[in-house]
Amino acid sequence: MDVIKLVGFSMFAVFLILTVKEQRKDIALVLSIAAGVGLLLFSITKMSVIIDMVNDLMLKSGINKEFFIIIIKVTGISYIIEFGKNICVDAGENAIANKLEIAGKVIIVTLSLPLISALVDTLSNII
Amino acid sequence: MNIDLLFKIAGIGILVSVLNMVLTKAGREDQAMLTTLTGLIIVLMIVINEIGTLFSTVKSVFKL
Repeated sequence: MDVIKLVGFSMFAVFLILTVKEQRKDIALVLSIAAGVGLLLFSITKMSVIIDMVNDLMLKSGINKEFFIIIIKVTGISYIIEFGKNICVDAGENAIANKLEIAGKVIIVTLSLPLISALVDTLSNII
Repeated sequence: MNIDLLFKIAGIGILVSVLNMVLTKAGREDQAMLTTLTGLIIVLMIVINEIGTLFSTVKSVFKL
């Protein structure tokens, strides 16, 4: 019955935010951050099971484990960046949100450089 | 995902807005401003713990 809990939580959060927003916009923003943190925490704790299972599959298939760790890291970074970006957009600061997104993309590309160099090595071996 | 936290923050928000209204009507704008600031700081102190929990969970789950 996690679904009903989730929907109830979100509806309740929206109701509280609408109540507070008329008087205090700043506290409504903090309220929405708290609700978002709660929902994200729920989904990420559930996600650890999936990651463990994919990790087992990777070990069985014999693919290089370092590459899988990079993929997992990129997923985590994009979750955090998206969280921060959405807070900035909610507060009406679209410029900072865009810059945060650019910074996140740069971090992801620097993290995945080993993958690109491995791909180039494989290609040059084939040729 | 605890609803008590949302209740706490919304309660502080409503309390602060009521206090703000009363103090503004009584002609004490400076104290009203300080009340607003205090309410915001208390709410931020509550939510910053949750954000820390979220970040440490993401760190441990995604092996960052």
